[in-house]
Amino acid sequence: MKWHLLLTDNVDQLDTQPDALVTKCGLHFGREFAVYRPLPFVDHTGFTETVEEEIEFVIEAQRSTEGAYLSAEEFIGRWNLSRLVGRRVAHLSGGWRKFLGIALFANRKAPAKCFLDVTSHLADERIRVLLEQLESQSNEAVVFCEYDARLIFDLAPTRFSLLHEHDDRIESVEGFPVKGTKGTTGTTATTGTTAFYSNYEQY
Amino acid sequence: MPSSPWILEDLSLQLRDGETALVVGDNGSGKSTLGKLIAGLIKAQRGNVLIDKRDLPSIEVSTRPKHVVYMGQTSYLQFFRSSIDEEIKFAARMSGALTSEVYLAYGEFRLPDDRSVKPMDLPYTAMWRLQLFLFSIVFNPSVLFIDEIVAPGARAQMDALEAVVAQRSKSKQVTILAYQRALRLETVSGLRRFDLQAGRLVEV
Repeated sequence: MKWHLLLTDNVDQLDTQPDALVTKCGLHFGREFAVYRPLPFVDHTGFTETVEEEIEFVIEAQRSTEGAYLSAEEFIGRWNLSRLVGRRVAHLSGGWRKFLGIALFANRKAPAKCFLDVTSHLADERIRVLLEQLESQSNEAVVFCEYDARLIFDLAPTRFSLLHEHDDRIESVEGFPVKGTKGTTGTTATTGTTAFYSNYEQY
Repeated sequence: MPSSPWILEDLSLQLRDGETALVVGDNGSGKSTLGKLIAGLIKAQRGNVLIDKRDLPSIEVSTRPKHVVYMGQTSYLQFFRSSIDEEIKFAARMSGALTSEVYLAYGEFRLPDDRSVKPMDLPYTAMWRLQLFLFSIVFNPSVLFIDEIVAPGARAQMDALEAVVAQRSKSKQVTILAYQRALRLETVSGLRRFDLQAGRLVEV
């Protein structure tokens, strides 16, 4: 199964109208998605203190509902979190706290998952681990939508199929529908609005 | 002596008037710790911080925001009032800025024209721009540490950031940006990049 990378002419939707974006995804795929939408730095249930307690608490909740891919012990090992288990969630750095939230979301046995804005706050290595773990799961559909789609695309270029959202429609596309080359401010072929603007040195 | 490893060690960072630094580091590498140290929010176990040629502890806490401000990752924790307008007036009162002057720059940050909106009701990206506006324009400190750039792939974010950095550089103020990737700031010349690895800062 390929992951889908949703390219949108209006990336501001990610923040201003995330529900509408997810609804469009749902209509396109004809199914409901579980959505990871980061609420920055509140990726913590608040019912626990340490990372280990948080993992056990959330996975126990997952097991009693839709199911969990990994047990708490497996989860800690597979997501490379063993050095953090004794630390307080509130004392983790912002990026690690977000990573913990994303990892726990990914562990849900929801058949269709939509990740909004994974790349903010996370270093590439964390995103690689996320993609590796998703690879080992039996999800039926996984969609990512990012402010800078190239960032995640380049981490696994052969694994993504591209979807382009414009004029309230979603369609499959072969390449990035942007005029210009990497590293330039592109304009989309369809609407002429600025999109996929890359501010990273490597582009 | 601490029983755990040093978070930052043998670290030296000297920035001259008008310079902009980008500190790049992995998650948990100490970027936020560095920012909090520079702003005096936490105290170093060894070493010192000089701002405007003064030892940081010698600067009264009440006047410190004129010298150094740490813009944290949790924008929503740094709002205190129930509307954007009240927030601006509150910050202006704290910093001694003239509200008539700061309002002139407000439009450049692509924030709502209606300033009765609650800061907490803004989209997260706009919350970040409001914070950037308050800290850079209203407080206008000699040293501004911006910890994490929210959604730099969104054009409004980078436009606001580049405008702030360029203006601060022109005004001979120091700006330090911390992020987990190397960003390109097209309108900023002379950006100094430092990598933070294993608690040490290396200029690239």
